[in-house]
Amino acid sequence: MTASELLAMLGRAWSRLLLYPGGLAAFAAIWLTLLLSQRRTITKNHEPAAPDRARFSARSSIVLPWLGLALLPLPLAVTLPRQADIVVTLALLEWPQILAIRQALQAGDTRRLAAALNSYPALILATLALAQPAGSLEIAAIARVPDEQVPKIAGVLHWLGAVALALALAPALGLGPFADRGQGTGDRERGTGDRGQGAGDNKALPHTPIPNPQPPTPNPYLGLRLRALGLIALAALPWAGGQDTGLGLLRMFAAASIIAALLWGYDRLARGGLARRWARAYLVLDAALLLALLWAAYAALQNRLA
Amino acid sequence: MSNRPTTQFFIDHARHWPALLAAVPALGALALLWRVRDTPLALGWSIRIDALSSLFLLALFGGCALALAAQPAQPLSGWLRPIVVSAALALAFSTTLTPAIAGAYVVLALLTLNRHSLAMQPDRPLRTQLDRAVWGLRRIALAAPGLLAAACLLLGYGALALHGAARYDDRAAGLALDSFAFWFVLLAAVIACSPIFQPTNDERRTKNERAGERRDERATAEDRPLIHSPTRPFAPPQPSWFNSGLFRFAWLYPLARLYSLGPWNAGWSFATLLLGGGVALWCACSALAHPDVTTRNARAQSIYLALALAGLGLSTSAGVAAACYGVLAYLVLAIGYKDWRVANRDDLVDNPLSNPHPPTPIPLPWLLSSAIPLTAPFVAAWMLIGAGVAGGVALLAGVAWLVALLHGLMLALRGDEAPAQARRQLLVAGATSLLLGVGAPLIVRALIRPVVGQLQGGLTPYGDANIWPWVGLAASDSAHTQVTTLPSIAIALLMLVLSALVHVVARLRRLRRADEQGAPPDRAPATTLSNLRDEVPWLGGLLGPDPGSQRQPGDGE
Repeated sequence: MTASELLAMLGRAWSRLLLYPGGLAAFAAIWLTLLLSQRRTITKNHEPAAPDRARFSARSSIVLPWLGLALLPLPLAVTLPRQADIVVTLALLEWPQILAIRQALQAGDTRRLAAALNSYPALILATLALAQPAGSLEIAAIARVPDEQVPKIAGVLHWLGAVALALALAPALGLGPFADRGQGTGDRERGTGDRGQGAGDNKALPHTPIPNPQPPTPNPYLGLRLRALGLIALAALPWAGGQDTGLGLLRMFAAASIIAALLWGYDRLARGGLARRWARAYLVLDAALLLALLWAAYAALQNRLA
Repeated sequence: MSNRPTTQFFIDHARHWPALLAAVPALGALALLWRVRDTPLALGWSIRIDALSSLFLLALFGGCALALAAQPAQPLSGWLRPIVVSAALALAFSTTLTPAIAGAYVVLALLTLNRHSLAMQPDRPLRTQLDRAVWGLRRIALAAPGLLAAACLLLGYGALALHGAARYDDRAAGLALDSFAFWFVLLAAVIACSPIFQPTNDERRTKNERAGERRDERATAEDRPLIHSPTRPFAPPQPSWFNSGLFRFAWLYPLARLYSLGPWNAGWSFATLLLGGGVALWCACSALAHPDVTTRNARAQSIYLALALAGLGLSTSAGVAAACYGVLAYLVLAIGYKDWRVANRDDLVDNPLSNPHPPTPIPLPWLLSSAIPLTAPFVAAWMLIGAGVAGGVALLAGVAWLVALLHGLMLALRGDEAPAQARRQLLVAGATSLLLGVGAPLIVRALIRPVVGQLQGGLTPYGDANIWPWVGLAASDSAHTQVTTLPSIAIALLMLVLSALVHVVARLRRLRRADEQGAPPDRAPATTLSNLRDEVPWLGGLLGPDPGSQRQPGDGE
């Protein structure tokens, strides 16, 4: 690739950044979800007047997930000659979550961090399960349904990965029992029966003689919304079948709506429940995915040696 | 008159003469790498410089130059030891004599001995002879992990020499490579790469410091200072720029050199990538959990050495490329993370009630983490992920991915509070990290591809690194299917464009100020980690039971 081809690629990318899947389409989707949930407007993501540090956090929390969303190979998006794989895309989408974890830790809440740690193994294993039949971590390859010529186990692994990826969104997005205090979780889990730790929510934080000099991390509200959109779009892609047509877009949209609705239902039903129990359930899911990957690797080795 | 600004410029920058002087051999190594990119250079009977040698020489001298540039201009002290270490390593990288290589590492180990660790006191009483013997061995190991590694390397390379491979470029040298030699060379690399033998903050306290603490404890409540500080500092200050951790990457060279002798068998490869992946995961989990900032930083550095070790174990072009890049990423972290504790201690001694963690103006420590794509640590982990999937070892890819995510989280958990004295080194290391990350295609093409090309005789075809000039990198498998893709330069440019757009929109909209209510003090790390052990079952399983949970309800209340 020459420098002029790089410039041509950048020229083609502008519609992705500004129109679809990033830019206009993304912010319209966020506005729609806020309208449906009757929340306040997205201008809650305030530009801090604080020093460079806080401004960097605020702006980067929007730029990185926006870019991650814009690089997704969604149906009918302008084709780029070089795509980013799922590792890079997830890293771009994860940045506002890291800032939000930092903010939550400054407020003394570890739930968001715990939810992220619970989600990572499931996300990683689900992605590997999708990548194993495709032989690649490219998003377009992962989204493609295995054809009839591949062994049956590859098909099973693909759909197992697709389901697991959708399931992993609950802790990744901090829904249900994994929600942090800022989202109004119940405090049943922190009652006096919790191994003598007491009502942790009302307990005074331990005093330190060293004042915390850090300015508060700005709320990456908009960045988190972009991240949620990106993750749901990623989870919906395998169900769209990797078709770059209007039908593929409709299928992806339908899958994304169903996944979003299921997540919303899970959040409503399970909020306030014991996060530890769900964490153990996800550990079982991780173990199942791991066994499936090992089994697939063993089967592939047998085929190779046969 | 018009020459005054120019003269002042030279006067201001002449203080950095050590860094400029160290840059000369670094540029020489770069020129050497360019020279030997197609054909190794033989100088005399036992000196042979190929691409692998040149890359490690570049890492050695380039790392020293960056470390010197990262320190505030001050008189260079203790210059003899680092020069001798550098000379020994330069000999090790250039010679073909296997005994000479092992001997050079013995010199390295002796010169990086930590004498202060020999005076350490245990953190609990030693009641039995066995406890005392174990502590004695541990204290020696803490003081001299390099000696243990050097002893293993002597055994391994000594066995090679005895079996007929006195020079690794001999035609029959490959026949001398057996499991005995391999295991000891691997053990040397693992010992050096892992932080097992690094003392914790408590263990660093010497007898005098313990005595001082007992005196403090006997003081009255009014006399007791607000912040409990020992009579003496925890560690004697090292020479300002010399850091033995800067040379730890060199222990991977003897293992990588074994590819010149021939291909590895499947068991050796599996053991290497298993140990590398395991050490990386252990370092990442313990870095997340450890409350001491120095130990945390040391474990974070070790992550990338361990990932480089795992990359070597893949025995593929992509794996070796990932390993070489991991070495460069390690150097960046070693420079950026050096001496945070010393800088923090100086703050406490000077003004214990003041803010000991004045924040850096922009979050420079994030440039040394894998949380932001296009930094060197992220690209190092990404390359290993691609190499793992291409080589059919998907679980190694998963471990590398998890480790990178944990490293990013480590900074969220009180990791980005760098002291003001560390600002310069963070600036140098952060800029280098960004350059290495965004310029990864150029780095791989110019510096690493020659290494891979010249080691092809020992590698398998199950993974290759492809370079798209002007755009990015990709990893591909044996069927030339692209496994992972990173258009780093394109992404960096798009990020710039979006950042400019967001900046303009933010200015135009004149968004309201964020809430600036004072944040409560950071929660004590012990409480945070205790909650994490409960709420994250897999992390609790890896870290083990919480010592604080031994208390029964009602105890001490």
